[in-house]
Amino acid sequence: MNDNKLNELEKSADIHNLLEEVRTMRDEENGQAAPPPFDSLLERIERKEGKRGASVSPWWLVAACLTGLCVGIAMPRPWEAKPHQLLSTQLRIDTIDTSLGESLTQEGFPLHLVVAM
Amino acid sequence: MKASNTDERLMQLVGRGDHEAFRELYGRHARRLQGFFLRMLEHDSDKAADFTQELFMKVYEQRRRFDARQSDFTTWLYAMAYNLCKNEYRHLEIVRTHRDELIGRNENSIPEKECNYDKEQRRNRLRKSIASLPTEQRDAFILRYQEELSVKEIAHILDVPEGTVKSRLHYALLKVQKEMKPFK
Repeated sequence: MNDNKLNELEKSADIHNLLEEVRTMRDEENGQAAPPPFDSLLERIERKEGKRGASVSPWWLVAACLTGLCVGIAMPRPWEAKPHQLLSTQLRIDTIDTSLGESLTQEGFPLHLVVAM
Repeated sequence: MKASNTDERLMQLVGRGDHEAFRELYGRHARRLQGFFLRMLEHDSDKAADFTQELFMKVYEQRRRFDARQSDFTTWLYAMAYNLCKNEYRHLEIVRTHRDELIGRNENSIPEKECNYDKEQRRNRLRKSIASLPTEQRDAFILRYQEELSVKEIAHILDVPEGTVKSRLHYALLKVQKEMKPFK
């Protein structure tokens, strides 16, 4: 587009008057309605930002999971037998087996019952 | 103190969370932008007010992205406002297409014969002829002759070469002139 063509058109009396009218209309329209008050805008922004702040960050979730894992590892587990308890039970059975077992088998008790005790 | 600052300086302050600077910017531009939305969105005043708030919410959200070295504040603001309008056009286009399909007619034409033209009628006609321009020409027309932005700024906002803006303006002027001939 040739610059001069547009300039010439804009300067022609007809278009010049038309554009003047367009600007007058604009001024009237701009003056007609006041924009919403700034405080209501600020309220909307704060509400939106507040909502965003309240949501849980994925990093917080990761941190919570790790904490849970550490606590879980450190907790005592009573259902799991301790190795020395197992050892003493074994020893006791062995003792029974050796001391009582001999006498009981001598009295005619079956050996598998003695082990089950 | 805030009143003497440039828009760009105020935006820097807004970036640091200064609400008073933001209030000053809103005071400077909200009315003008509301007028822009009014003209771009079929003179729907409620929608214009909603869009003004929406625009300034976006300004606040993107306050740290504004770079005064890339564009001045007004161009940046109008570019965002124009994008909001473009999204709305898409929505309106879908609504119109459905409506036209339902009704089975197109209401784009402007009645040809009107007589006893007074000032208000002439203005209505002028409004209608601007509104009935092809979207690209209308946007360029409004930005240039009603918002009084430079061709360079408009090219930046519309993301087209300056020559394209001039061409659109030229055709828009010719069309409006033709539409307004009976109202001389």
